[in-house]
Amino acid sequence: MTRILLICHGHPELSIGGGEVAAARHAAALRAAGHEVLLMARAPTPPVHGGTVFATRPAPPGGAPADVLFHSPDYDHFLHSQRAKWAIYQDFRALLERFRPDAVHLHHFVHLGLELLREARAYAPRMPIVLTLHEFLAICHQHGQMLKTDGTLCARALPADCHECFPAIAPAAFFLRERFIKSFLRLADHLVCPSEFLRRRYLDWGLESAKLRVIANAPPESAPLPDAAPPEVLCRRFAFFGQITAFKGIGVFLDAAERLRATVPEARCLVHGTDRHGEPAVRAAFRERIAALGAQVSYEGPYRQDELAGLMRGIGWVVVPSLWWENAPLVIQEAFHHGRPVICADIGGMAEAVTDGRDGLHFRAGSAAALAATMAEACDPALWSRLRDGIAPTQARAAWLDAHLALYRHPPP
Amino acid sequence: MAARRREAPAPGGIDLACVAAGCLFLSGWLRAAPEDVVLAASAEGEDYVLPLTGACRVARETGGRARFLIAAVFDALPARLYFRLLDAGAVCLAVPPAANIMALRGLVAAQGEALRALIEAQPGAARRRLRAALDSLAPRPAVERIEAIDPALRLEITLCAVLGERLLLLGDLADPAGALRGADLCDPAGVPLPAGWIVQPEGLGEGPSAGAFIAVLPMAAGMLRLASGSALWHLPLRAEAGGEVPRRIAAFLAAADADTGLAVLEALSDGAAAPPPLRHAWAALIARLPAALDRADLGLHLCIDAAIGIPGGGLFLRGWMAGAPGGVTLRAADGACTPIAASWLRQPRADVAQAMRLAGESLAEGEPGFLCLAASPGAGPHYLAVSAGAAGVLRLRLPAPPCEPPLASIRTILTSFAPDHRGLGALLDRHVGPAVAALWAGRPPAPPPLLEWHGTPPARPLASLIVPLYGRCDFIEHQLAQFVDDAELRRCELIYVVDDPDIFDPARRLAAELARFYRLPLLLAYGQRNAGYAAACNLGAGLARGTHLLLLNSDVLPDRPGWLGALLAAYRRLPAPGVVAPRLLFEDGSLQHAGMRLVQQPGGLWANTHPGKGLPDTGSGSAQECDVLSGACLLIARGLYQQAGGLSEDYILGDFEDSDLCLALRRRGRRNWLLPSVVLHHLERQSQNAIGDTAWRAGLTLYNAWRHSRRWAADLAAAGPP
Repeated sequence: MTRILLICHGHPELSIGGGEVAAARHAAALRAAGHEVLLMARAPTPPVHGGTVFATRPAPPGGAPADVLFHSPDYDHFLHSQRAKWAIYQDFRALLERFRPDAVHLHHFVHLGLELLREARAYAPRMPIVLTLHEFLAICHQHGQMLKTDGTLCARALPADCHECFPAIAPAAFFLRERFIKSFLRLADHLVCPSEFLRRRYLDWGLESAKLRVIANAPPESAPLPDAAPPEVLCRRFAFFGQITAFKGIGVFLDAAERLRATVPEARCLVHGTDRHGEPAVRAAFRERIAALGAQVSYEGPYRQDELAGLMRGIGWVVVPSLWWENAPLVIQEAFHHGRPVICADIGGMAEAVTDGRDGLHFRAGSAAALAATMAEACDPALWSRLRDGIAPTQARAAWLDAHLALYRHPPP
Repeated sequence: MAARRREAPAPGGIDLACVAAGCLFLSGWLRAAPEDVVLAASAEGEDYVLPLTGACRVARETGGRARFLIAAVFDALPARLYFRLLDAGAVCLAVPPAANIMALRGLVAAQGEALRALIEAQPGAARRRLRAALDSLAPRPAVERIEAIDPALRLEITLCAVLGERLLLLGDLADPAGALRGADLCDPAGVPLPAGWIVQPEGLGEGPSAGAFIAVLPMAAGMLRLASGSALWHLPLRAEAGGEVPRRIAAFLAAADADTGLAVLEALSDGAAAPPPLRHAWAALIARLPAALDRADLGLHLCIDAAIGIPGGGLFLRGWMAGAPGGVTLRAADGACTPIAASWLRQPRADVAQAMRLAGESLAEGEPGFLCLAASPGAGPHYLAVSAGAAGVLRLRLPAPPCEPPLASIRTILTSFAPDHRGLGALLDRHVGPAVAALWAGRPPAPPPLLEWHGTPPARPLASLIVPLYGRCDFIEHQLAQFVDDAELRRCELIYVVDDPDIFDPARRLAAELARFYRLPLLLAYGQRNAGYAAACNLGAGLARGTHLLLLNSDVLPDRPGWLGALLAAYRRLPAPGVVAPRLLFEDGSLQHAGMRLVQQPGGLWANTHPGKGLPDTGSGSAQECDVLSGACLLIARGLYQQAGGLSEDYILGDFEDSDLCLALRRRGRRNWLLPSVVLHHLERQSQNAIGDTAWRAGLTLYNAWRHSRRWAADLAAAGPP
């Protein structure tokens, strides 16, 4: 049995996102295998108790231990530094000494502070420290998306170019940011990359090759359900899953859906996901747009992870039209798990996860016309069935877990 | 001026004729025996005869002359007094009596006993009146007055006082007919003074006039000699004394307009070895002067933007002037003065030219701006006196010297001219340079530093890192984040020197937290002021215990561990090392520093340049000797640093002190080495940019370059062109 301190930048019950879901699955998988896990998740508010950053999140019935909430006191969103050092050398240190982990695994550092890495290292110089990288936040100040503020895709972060994206921030500041972040990242023994694409980006950025390893996100657990309709029907049903934000490509999807009405009137387009994170004006515009598109396009509202199987069985294609590179989108993993081929933008982590013509179709990123054409082409039961059959089986959870346990056992160099 | 006399030889003369309280007092002399003449007076067309016997006291003099003294009741004021010889009946001399009380007082002082004896010999009623008249003179303040009946001439001296080495004369003159023909000065014996007036009152003897007059006279003046159409007076000038006098002078100066008052004070003190103690009067008058001259009617404008007191004497003036007056003199409140228009440097002033255009005035040719370091004329407050030809002297007060720290004054001075001024050499050598140097040298002594150790420093540090902090303190964390995983740095002493009062508090909080979190001991030293890079380094060096010092900018970050060890090893290995410095790169990987080169600029000043700066970094190589190396990251043995006196604190806020140190070490026979194989990143001027104002930065650089060039001119010239 290994004692693992699992750290996440959000609590799975308090915020939704790929990292949180991955961490929750991670914890569940480790516990199911008999390991002791303490989940420390950052809570979205400042400290609630006097004299400590910690609070407790009681576990749901079923015997799992309670989670620890880290209420971040003073976070620097540029350097990803916890300014309140006492929260680290005092509170986090106390947690380490109390739990005495055999390994520390961070699903992200954002909102918590890179300092966690150094404190964990100071606590036990030979204890394995693992960090899963969920997007390019260490490299890119623009939400870690490497999508420039003018909407174009970014290939590498140079201080001078970053300054173009953020004219108020000097190039030297970006240089300092990089050096600062790297001074902490080099303390981790293993840097887990959910995609080869992301590994390559961090390798190019200068992280140590030997520490970077690709391990996919934890495989989903829910059992797939039988199809709700025959392929002739399903192949004309396209669904978008995800947060209703511009960089997820919702605009591209709706534009394509509009074009599709003319070419394939019987096609249906569904939008699943919360639109609560954007600005009210954006949400209103989105709702208005949906209403204007008529019956063929519908907004289905937010969904829970445990609803996915039921939602997937009624559609044929999952569309992932993100404008940014993506890392290893959970929705693609889910789609494949439920036997749904994916139509995705031909870039980054999406293009890596989906093989054009085998388990899905690519379209030119950002182009509604290209997506509409691809969707029209996809309204073909034979193609749908062939691509569905091309989907590789979901990775076994045991194999996934073993890959991580090897990291926790691996003696640091 | 000559008194008009009759052709015939005068039988006698009258020195004093004075009417007071209805009594006539006369003193004079006679050639003839008193029995032969009568004294006659005419009033309102009638003649009165005054017997010279009885009420007269006569004393014989040598040469047959006799002096007489008359005190008589004489109600009517005579228009004319004259002698009539009994035998011939000729009028010999005419003198209008006047109520010249001061002169009378002088008579009383000189011949009081004789007068009293004379009065006591008078009949009862006359005696009482004469006595009363004499008594009435005593308690009254000294007022001298001449009043004439025909013509209506009146002159009254209201004050005669000694001030310093001058006499100040105030009075009133009413001469509507212009009867006064002239006025001059005599010594107490009546001999005319060739030196004459210091300030000639306007209107005295120059036609009809009325009103107050003011005169400043030499101490030698004993009499004021006045001539009218038919008479000559001698008004004895006797200085008054007593507690009332200063009050009355002050009252006069307080009531006078500022120009008049200052003209008097200037006259009183001009050339005087001991100027009068009238500081308050000066100051009050100067305060009433205008702050600027705006005489569109004369085409003359003069405005002072700044007047800064320079320690050790001197005033730095910056302003502008339109029009060409005869001279501009800086004057002090104690009479001292310095002409400035001969030495000042003119400069263009686009703002002035534009303002004049807007006002519809054309600007005279030439540059309106000026700046000047004027030798100290004396104690403040100061003002300028401008000779404006027929318009006389115009005066304007200087702005009060700013009550500010020296650096603020330095800033004002260094931003008061264009860095490309055509006369930059003279401007720096004669005006700006000495002024700034004196201000900088005159800054208050350093207060004791505040020291805070966070964590326990190594017992015997390998080296002491000295990092001044200015503008921002977040660099501490960026450096610690790199130092912490370098074993060599853990054996060193970290000294952060706060050189910025604004960041001391945040730096303290940060240092305490960071030292705990990174487990790196560090010393935070605070000199309690912004003293500049050199002073901060020297403060840190004074606290250091390492055998070597590494001077390090806060925005220099190492690339990888091992850099300090490599520098230390090179220092031990290389011959006669002065300083050893690494190669420095910008954040984009281009070259920032691989040795500096001094290059002489067109104006003659030497500038530090960084050859290859901004270009792709072209590699490493072995140690190479350089004349001057950047102080951004510089290793030196502590003992050598102390022997050389550390970094020179003559440069303001940071510039050139590194090359100054390098050149000083070369003079000591040391060699300075660049170690290109050691590379650090330098985000050059990230902290200096916090200074903000580019004009201020440019001015500072210029001053420091000037200072550096003047100090090392011989060494640099000997080195020849690179």
